[in-house]
Amino acid sequence: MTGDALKAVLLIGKKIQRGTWRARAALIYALRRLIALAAVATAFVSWPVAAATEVLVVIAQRSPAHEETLAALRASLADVPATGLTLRVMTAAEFSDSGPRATDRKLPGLVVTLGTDAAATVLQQKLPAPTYCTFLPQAAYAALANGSGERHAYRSALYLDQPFARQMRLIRLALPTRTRVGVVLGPESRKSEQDLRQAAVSAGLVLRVEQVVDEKQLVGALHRIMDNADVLLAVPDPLVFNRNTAQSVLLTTYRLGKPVAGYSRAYVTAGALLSVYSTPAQIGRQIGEELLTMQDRPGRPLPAPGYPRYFSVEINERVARSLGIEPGQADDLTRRLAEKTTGRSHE
Amino acid sequence: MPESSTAVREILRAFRHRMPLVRTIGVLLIAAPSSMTWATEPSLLSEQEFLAELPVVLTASRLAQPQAEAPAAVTVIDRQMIEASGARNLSEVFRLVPGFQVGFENGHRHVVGYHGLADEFSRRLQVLIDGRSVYLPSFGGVSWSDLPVSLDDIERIEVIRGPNAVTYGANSFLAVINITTRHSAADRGGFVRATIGSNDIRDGVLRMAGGDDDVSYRLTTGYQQDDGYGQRNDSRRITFMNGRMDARPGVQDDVEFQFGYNEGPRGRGEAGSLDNYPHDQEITSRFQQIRWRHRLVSGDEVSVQFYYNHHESDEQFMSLPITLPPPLPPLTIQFPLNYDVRSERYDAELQHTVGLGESLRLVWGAGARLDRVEWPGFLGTPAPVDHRYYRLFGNLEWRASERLIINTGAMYEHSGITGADVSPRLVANYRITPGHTLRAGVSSATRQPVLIEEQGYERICVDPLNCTVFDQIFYSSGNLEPERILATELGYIGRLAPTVTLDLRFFRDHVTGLITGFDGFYDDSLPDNTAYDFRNRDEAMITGSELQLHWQPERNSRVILGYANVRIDSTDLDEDYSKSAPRNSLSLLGLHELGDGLLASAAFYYQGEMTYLGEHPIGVLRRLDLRLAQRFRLADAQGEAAIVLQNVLGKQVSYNDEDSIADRIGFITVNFRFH
Repeated sequence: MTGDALKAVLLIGKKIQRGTWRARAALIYALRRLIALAAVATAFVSWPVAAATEVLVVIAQRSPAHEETLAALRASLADVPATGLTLRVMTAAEFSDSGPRATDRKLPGLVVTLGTDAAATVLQQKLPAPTYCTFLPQAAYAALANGSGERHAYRSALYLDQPFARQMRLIRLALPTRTRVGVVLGPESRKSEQDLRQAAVSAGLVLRVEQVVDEKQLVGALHRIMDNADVLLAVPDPLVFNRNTAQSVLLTTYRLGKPVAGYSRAYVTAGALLSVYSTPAQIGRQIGEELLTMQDRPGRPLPAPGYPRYFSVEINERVARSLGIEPGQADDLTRRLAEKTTGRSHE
Repeated sequence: MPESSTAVREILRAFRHRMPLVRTIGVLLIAAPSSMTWATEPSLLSEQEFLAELPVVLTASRLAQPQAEAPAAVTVIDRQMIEASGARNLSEVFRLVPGFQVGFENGHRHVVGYHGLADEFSRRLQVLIDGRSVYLPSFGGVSWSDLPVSLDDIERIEVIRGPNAVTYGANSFLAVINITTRHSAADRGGFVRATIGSNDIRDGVLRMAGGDDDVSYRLTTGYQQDDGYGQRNDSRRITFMNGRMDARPGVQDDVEFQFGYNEGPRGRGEAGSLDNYPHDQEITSRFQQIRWRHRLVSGDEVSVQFYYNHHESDEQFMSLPITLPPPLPPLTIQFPLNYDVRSERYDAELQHTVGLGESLRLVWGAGARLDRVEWPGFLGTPAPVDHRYYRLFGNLEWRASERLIINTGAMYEHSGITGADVSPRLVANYRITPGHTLRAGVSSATRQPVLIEEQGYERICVDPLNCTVFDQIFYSSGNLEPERILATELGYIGRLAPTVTLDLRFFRDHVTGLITGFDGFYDDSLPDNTAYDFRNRDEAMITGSELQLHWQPERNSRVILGYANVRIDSTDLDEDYSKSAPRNSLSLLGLHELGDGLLASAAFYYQGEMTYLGEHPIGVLRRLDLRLAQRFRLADAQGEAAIVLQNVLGKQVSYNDEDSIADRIGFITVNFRFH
């Protein structure tokens, strides 16, 4: 059967050179079959050996970022010899097709998901196995887990985004004279308003909030909020504040001469003044560490849902110069932010 | 499952980007079977939001030059400063800029000059509102009372102290005033302001704004009146309206459309005069402007702008009966006087900003302009006179190293009056240490003669048919050259403390070919053998220093100090140019929030002795303006009530010592903002 699939691939490869899109579709189909076969084969080999703890890692997709997270996770496990942990990796698509089901007699000891789609797919199955959802935004986990903060023995999370407190402190450290922080909240992100207020107060900042219901009100809202704010904190929202609107956000605030604190490295590249974010490698490393901790103490429940322990600060020097702002060095800010955060990874 | 969630997102995206309906339905159909379970789920934030690459929005070519890297000294007047200054007129805020003089010739003719060289028409400054030049092609200068703009709609004002022809074109001579109004999306809902005060001050502003990011609009209308200097016939009744619409046809495009209208009577003349007795001048001023900005994928930017300005003054009347002097027959007659003037300006401009690698940026562009002036009383012809003008400009900004930035560029212009000219510039900014920058540069500019200077021709006839000349007032011999300036400067911008910035500059401006009006046209056939002519006769060397200090200990506590020392050496053949600027002048603005929405501010101005061109000397001027404002809420509306006292120290000579003496003025202004 495998041979047949391979032949099909080779045959179709030739067709592709002739450039028909049908051939491309057929190739993708064949490749999928091949991957499915490989997954089944792997399952057969590893299933019986998983005597210690089998960890099923479900990744949202095979993107470079997810692969990087996975690689960092493996690396951090590899640092410790004979962990007794076996990793089995499948994509969310594969999990849907052929993953374990609640009715299965033998289930993995732990399921780790990487990404929102992976968490959504796995949680939907309601497996009676502990599930550690990682590499997803806090808001997505909160929505999936039906109410954030509620501790569930079989379910926990390691978020990808940064706690508001950390973002506020970065603003305080990098922009000491800019004490009024503006945020524009959308239909989803407005759920965080209370948390934002709290974080602002503890950092000694004043929060100004403007709410919008759709993308078409964003520029107007930015103008209004920046009349009374010194810096904009970008809070992602699937409908209003996202990659599609980054251009409007950055151009509008820049024309008003106000800096933006973004939530990703890409936001800084695009034109935000600074961001604090965690790289896939940093998340992967922490997942590995959490797994080892869990393994050391069998029977111990999952760690509480928490924010990343490792993070980086990025600064756009050109934007800083153009706005006449001196936020300091990224390394220095990361260090000072980490000092303040020590021992408080679950903020 | 994952396919279905992707499908949901696909649908959302389709709606957001308004894909053709067919495609959306197609997606729905394909996704339908498996997406059912997702129908009730909210849209979830994906990790991709934090990981995916974004295109660079603020590319090197889009980043503006910070003040420390700009090739000129810049004073910024923001909204807070405008409010705190207590200004009721736009012209008044320029007192805050080092080196500026503001005088009111009468209640509606405000003179804003920089480093002197100004008469009642201050011709050596360029003034732009949202990139539109409001310089009048007839008299030259700016008629501040006739601009259809409300102080409430202004976002900020940048004043470039020194010539900047490369960026701002013709007449960006001694300085450039660049006014930016607020984006129409910035003020949603309504706004009303009412002002009442001494000297018959009665002002009102009404504004409505709405729309969304695709199309937003603002409509402002207002009325302004006062009694001018009180004892004189120089009152004004201004009715104005302006509108702005911002549209975003695509992610990469911005289109801005504006129009404005200002009209009403302005009092003129003086009691006791036979040919200039008290009467009204009817002003109509309007404009339309459209600007399209397009961002290229490369990060470069192209903008195209077109505007039309129209300024009209209706002032035709008969003089009182005058008995003709000998050798004319001893008749007592009334002369027809025609001061009607209509000027129009059509202007088109293209600008392209190109990033050339990491360290080079080029801004280049071209413009064409047609000025059309119909001024039978002063140009000697009932037909409109056209003046065509073209320009080509380019500036190259080279970031030679982390510390050194070189700006070099030039403007080439071709004028129907003076022919071709080139104005180059070279400026270097060097950062000594972070927060401390030195600037040294040489720049040049021209001032084009205005029509009255090039072809002024005014005669008063005894009889309108044959025109027996009673008096020839203007007779320009023409063939004027542009005035030229060569400005050399050394500047420093530094942050002395986290809350204190200092801007210091030493300058030496050599102005040649000053167009001087003088009683120098001789012709035996004229009744008194002479008429007023304009020639490139004088030159002046302006040297001195300027300082600007900004201290902001808190958000709502600021102190802004401006000081200028100016010395003018001039040939002074026909005008006392050397006395036209005060040796020392100072402005000090302080504002402080006392708490609970109570804001207090005070502005003090000192101006040494000076004489506006062709006027009597005015002595030392000390002026103090005070303002106290209280913010409050009334139901859903945000309100502010303020009391302003201007010229608290008492009578001050503003423009000349005869009849432009300013007295104390007080007014109360209340505004409401509601959604």
